[in-house]
Amino acid sequence: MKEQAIVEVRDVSYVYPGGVKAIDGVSLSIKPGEFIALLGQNGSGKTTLAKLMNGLLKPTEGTVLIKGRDTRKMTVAECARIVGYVFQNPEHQIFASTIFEEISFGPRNLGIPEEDVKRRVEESLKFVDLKKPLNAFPHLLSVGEKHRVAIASVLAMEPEFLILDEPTTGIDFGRSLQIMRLLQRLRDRGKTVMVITHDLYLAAEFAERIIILKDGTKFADGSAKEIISDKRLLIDAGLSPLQVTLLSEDLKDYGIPTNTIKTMEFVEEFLDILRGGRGSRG
Amino acid sequence: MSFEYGLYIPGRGVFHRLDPRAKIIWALTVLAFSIYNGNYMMNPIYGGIIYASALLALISSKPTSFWYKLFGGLTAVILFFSLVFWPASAPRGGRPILIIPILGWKYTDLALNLALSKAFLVLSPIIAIAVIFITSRPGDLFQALVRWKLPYRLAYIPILALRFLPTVIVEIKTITDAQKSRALELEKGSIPSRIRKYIAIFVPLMIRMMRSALELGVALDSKGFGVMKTRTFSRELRWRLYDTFMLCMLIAVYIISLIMLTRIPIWW
Amino acid sequence: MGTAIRIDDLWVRYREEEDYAVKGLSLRIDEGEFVILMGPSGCGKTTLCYTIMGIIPRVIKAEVKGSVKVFDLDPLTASPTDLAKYVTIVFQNPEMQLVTTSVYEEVAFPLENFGLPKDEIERRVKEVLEVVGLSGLENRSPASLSGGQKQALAIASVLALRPRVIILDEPTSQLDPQGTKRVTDLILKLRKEFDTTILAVEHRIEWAVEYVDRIVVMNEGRIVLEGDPKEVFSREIRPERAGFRPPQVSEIAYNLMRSGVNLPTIPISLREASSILRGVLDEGAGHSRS
Repeated sequence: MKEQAIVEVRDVSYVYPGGVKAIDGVSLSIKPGEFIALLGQNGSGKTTLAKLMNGLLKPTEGTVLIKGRDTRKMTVAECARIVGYVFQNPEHQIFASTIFEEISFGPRNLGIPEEDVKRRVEESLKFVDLKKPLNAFPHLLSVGEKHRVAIASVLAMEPEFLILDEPTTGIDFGRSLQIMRLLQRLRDRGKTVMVITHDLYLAAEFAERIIILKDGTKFADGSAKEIISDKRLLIDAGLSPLQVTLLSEDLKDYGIPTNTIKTMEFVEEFLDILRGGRGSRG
Repeated sequence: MSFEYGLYIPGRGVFHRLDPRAKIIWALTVLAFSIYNGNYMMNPIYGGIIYASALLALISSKPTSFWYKLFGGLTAVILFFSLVFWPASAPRGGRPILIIPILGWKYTDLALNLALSKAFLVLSPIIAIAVIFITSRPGDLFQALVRWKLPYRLAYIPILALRFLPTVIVEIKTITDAQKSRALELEKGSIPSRIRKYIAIFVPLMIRMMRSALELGVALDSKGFGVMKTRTFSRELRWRLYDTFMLCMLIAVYIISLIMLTRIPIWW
Repeated sequence: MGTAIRIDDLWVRYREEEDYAVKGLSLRIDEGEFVILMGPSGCGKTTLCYTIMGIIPRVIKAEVKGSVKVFDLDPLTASPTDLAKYVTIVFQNPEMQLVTTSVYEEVAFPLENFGLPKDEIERRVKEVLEVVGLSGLENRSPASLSGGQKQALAIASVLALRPRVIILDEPTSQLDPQGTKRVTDLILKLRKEFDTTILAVEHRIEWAVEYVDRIVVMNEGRIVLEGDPKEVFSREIRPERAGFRPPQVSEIAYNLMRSGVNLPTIPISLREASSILRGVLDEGAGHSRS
């Protein structure tokens, strides 16, 4: 049974009006239910690729398909029904005078009937765990609360695929963890999630698939385990390997698999070996 | 156009090499002569000469297509409205040039002179001022104002506006993108509803700008801005012979054409 | 070595707020120290930095009780000109702290504001651009620089004042890995070559853990943990509460200890972790053999 890709990028290039070629011949396919981390230096084309995937930008060459439909034949609003995009800074979105207004903005734009809108707002607020009253003034919320309002307002549109642009940049680590866990719950509910991030640790702990862009081209695309444990590849992409990977390599003689990328993975392997499970030394 | 230096476009043109003070004085003379012509002389050829000089100044600065499009459009719009509306205030008499039979309108030569002169009155100074900004670094403009005794805390405000122009443009784009991603469709709907939709762009923009203003204030303070009564300028402006020469030449052109044209009756 | 910064029982409350942002905080930083300040958002780290600079209450109105001394100056009353020779600050957002339209002007800006003579300014700008690795880019617009370069430029502009102390408020939080590396390398260079006293607010610690003298952890306006890295990470740090995560090797160690493995100490660096864990495995292998 062939699963239709949610988003398919076919040999796409994108040149900005000023002449800068931000994306050069990228092809990839996003399957439903995936949890992807999109990595790359600033200027590598991550945001451009994300905007191509939600229809904000139309490719100058190649095709982007959202559930089989060419984005060129769709308006951004139509794409927004399927692909939701949460921008990095919630202040770029928040404009309403009540939380309810703010979160209902998206669904109302999509023409969702009012009774449904109310349900969606309540559900998304519950999902992001925001316990503020519906008539609260969004601009006075704390930074973390604003982030959650922003996510809720996109979730209320009930997209199948959610893209978040650097949700962990510029906020403290505790909060980043909360957001990643929220995304994990989303994925467990059947949504597809793609996070643009610089945090390799979080990518390793939460994402299953990693895509790395470099100079507008697809530099790497594979399982998190494959990619994050590949030292050479990471360094070529301008990223630093995780301590856990380096440590497992150091201890490989003892039987620790060198492709360890998560803390708990390492811990379990270590305990295993210690309890005499395995061990090539002796 | 990237606006990375505000409105300044680096270059080595005639006007780039002028001291910003010379350029400001030039723009003021363009303004003065344009007003004189537009309100009193109403000689379209004279107006045209001044306009041409400003246009040449612009072209010599090698601006990007953005500016050509802007001024091309502006010229067209202002010319159109001038030609249509000013003749109503034209002085009596004059030879009719154009007669529109159905409406019985007579377009006289005096009306044409008036309309064109008014158009040039508006256009020439605008282009001259644009030339100032296109050919002068904001830092140099700042220094020019301060050397002319403007308090430097005040004089820096327009420079900050120039510095943050690209930032504001990017902010507007980001906000618009964010809202479009929430299915905001700005092109659809009736005019009143479309205006209401812009609130979703306007409010975040205002909030971002207020927050940025605070951050900026803190940053400026931490860099000692406003602490002392006067400040040094590391790259000092120097008024050169070149500046005096160019300025005199330009003003001479305006004066000589003025004299020549007032002695010679308008050809038609 | 003298005391660079001395804070005694500091209380700071913003005008619009009811609660204090900084509550009875005392801290001493000696000259030449490299201190990292960490904590969750809203814990008062930025408020503390601004108060040391005098930005609070000079620019941002707030009630300040207690004493702050930067060398012998009181930032609450000293003139910014005097203060600038001792302490300067680099902010988090590269965009909002660059106020001119060329790299040269940006570095010269604070020097011009303080009325230094022209030739002195030229000399210092050249010197400082060399240090931060931006020589040759004098005429570039700050807007055309990468994030890391922008922060390097911001650092250059305060460095030109030759301050004794540099405060950096989350200098890498908006940067990509390359930019982060650029800035962290620069901070370490300043430390090594110029012996500058550095107070950095950071969320990430792995890059600094082998170089930092002291880590100060804040929460809700107070210092909750303070010490050298070994001390601070010797007990488990929970990211949800602390707002930062410990070095991954430390995290691995906490989990191992929780599962009953005995470790002589919690490692904070890769090297240390490697040798400690080898030791454990060797011992363990010995046990299982016997």
